[in-house]
Amino acid sequence: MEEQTEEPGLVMKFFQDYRMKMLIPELLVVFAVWYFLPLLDSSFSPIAGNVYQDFGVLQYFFQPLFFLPSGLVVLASAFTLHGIYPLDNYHEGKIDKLPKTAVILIGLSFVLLPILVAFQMLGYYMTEMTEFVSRNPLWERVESVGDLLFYAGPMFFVGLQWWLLIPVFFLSQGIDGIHKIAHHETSSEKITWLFYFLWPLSMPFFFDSVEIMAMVALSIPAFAFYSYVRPYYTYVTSIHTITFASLLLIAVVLVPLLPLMNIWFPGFILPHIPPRVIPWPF
Amino acid sequence: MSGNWTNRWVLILILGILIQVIIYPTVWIFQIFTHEYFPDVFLISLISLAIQIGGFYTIMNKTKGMDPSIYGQGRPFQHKLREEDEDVATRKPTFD
Repeated sequence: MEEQTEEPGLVMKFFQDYRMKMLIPELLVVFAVWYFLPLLDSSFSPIAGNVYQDFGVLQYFFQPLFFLPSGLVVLASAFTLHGIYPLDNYHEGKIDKLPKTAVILIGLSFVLLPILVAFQMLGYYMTEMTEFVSRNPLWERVESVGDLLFYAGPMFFVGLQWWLLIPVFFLSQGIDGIHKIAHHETSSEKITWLFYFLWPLSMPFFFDSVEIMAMVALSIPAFAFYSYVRPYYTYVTSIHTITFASLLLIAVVLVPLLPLMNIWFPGFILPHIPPRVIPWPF
Repeated sequence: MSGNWTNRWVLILILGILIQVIIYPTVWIFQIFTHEYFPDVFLISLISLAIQIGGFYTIMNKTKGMDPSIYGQGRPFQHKLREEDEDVATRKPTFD
């Protein structure tokens, strides 16, 4: 029988080479930035307002095209920074030549938001350190912080939500950690599990009960999906489900106390509920 | 056959889903939380539960008649970078 090699079409090949499926988490972060924009200034919206307008001369470093709305610029950079994926394949030796389109796209990202993209690139190189330096618990933690900078970067450098830095640190350690465990990619499962459990443990300090409920409801199916496709991941799904279901239980019991940080340091967690853009129809 | 339903990981998964089945409606009925966005979050939690219950049946269907040790097995290809790779990896990310 003649061997069939399925060559993907040009568009499909572009989607695969540039890993366009990663737009799912990236666009979620962009939408989160949009959601917070009205809190920075009530006149801001996804299509209006430069978040760096009060930065004085520094604003031109953060966003040289100062006349464009930051909401749209960050959306555009989520697409253009996908040039990093072929760059990654080139670094790993999977492709011989660095594709020109990738270089142009990365260059374009730097033009759009130089500071954000510089930190995202730093994050990317941090995730590579386990390969280039050594894989031990320390560099694995650095790898997770690299994920924070690369994927959550817009939340901080465009959304300016710096109060989220500590919880997102634990979140990135937890998410990256549980992936490492499921993929047998960690040099110490014990330490990685420890950092994974710090994530749910840290949540009551920074979030109120409804926010925790949202995290539970979103994160369980997001992880469980792996085991629906390949049931040999079931134990990871089971641990994550029971851990976050317990977190939900704790959030219900502790309702009036949350977030705990505000008890000890009043005002630590700033008000951060944006006005509703589209009201419920009932 | 029934061994699959008494597997430790399957029972833990059922318990985790069960806790959510009880808590989400409870907070809604007794209005334990008040929040501008509670209706949105409650809707998300119902969709989440539907996915989890559907996904649980998918897992049980796919593993019907299989050795229950499958649930705790983890990724079988320890020394490959990606599942589609033919050869074991010569460089690091997967561990010795």
